[in-house]
Amino acid sequence: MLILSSIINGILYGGVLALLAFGLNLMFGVVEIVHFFYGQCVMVGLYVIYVLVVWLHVPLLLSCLIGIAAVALLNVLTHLVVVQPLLKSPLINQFLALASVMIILENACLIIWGAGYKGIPINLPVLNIGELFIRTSNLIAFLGSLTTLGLLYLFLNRTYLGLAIHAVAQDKEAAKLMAINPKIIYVVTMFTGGILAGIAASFFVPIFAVHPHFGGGFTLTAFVTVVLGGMGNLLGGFIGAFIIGVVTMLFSTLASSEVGEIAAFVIFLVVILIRPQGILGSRSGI
Amino acid sequence: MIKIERVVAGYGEITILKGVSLEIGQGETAIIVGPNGAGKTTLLKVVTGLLKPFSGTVHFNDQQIDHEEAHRIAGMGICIVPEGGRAFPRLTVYNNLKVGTYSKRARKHFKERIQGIFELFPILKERQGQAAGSLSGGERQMLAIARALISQPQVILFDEPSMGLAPLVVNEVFKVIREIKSQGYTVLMTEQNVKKALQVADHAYLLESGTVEFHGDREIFSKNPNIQKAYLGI
Repeated sequence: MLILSSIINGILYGGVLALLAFGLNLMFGVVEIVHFFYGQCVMVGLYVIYVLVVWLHVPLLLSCLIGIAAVALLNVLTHLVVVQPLLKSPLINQFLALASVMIILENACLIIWGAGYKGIPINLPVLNIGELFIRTSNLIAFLGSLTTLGLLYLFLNRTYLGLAIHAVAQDKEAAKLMAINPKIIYVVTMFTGGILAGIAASFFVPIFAVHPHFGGGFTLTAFVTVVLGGMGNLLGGFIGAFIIGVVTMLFSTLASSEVGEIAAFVIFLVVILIRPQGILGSRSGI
Repeated sequence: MIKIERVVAGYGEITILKGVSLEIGQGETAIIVGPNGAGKTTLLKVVTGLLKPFSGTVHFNDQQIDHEEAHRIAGMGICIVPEGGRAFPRLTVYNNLKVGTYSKRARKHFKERIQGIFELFPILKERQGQAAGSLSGGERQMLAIARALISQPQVILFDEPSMGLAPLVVNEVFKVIREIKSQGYTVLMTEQNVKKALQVADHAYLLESGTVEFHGDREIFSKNPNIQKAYLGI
């Protein structure tokens, strides 16, 4: 029963990872950047929510909404200032520039808030269904993530803007010939990626305490998820998120959280060695 | 409608177009024929804004467009069927057509326009839920033509519409082009299949090594002995 509980909690945790994987895949597929500081975006979201809730006593829900908006804005700003100007530069410049933003964000948070863990005091109950233990925080995160992904799916496939995003990802030149301005689509995509990171941060509020190196672990996990599923493949990222979520939770429960981490990365390595393009990967993209 | 004056264009150090001038009036069909490497595709890239010329001008209805952004030119009503169609492979036929009406001008007419498009292209109606990448080459070309048509453009450009297609399919494509022409559209087409292209042309230009070597209306063009020998196999 403990195993079943941890698998269920793993699936729930996978839901939030799926949000981050989706964001990464979207930005990689459309803007063609490897978003190195995505985990740090989540971290900034958590810090903003922390300041609003704990220092300024703003109600939780409003704080989360402001946090989401803040991360979306941060992403768009970094895109306009750092990413867009470097899109025609050698890849190594782009990578280093993005990694630089990562270091800058981490150190800025270190200066402002210090090295300690900053937790937002929200305690959610653990549900006891028969012999199963399910954390409400994980349940809310899961349902919220599915809803978000559902809405995102509708946006991408039923609206003109969503279709334009697909078009730019599949054939940027042909998209221009359809009167689509790729620069605007890039901004919309980066905004969406930021929103997803902000939503993930909101779901993390009752689960994690934030600290300046919070981002690093998440960026790596998110990238592992994405590469496991197949870089650029939205469905693949979705599947990869649940695999990583379940494996991490399962082994954390069976042994320790360190073993949980090891297990997830071992699975990743094994899959990548056997099938380098990832589970659903090819050059199929979004 | 479109006036191209002494356009010089190329890629980096390489100059492809060495002073090309061309003019099409409303409702006319102009074709540009010539060998590979002559600059036909390059010329269409300049008109659509994907390539900025080194010198020379392009005017569309008295508006200068040679240094405009491609997406803005498309929004003005210049639509192209690129070589090979370039339908978005992972979008459905329906969504490909929808993307064709992305510009503000065309968006409100999508629902009514798509009915007309499906009548003209019944195969697209049949396959509307299929991903464009799974269509045959001929079907993709039809989709690309429909996608250009659905926004009711002022000018339709075709880049080598017969390229890579079987002869029977080429006939189908040109049947559609004739229908488009009869509806009064202004058409500019590049083609290597000179015989087929001349059947729909009002005016023809021979582009060789980046310059217009000869041009004239259909009669004059097809009677030119050099063209007859080199391109019509006479």
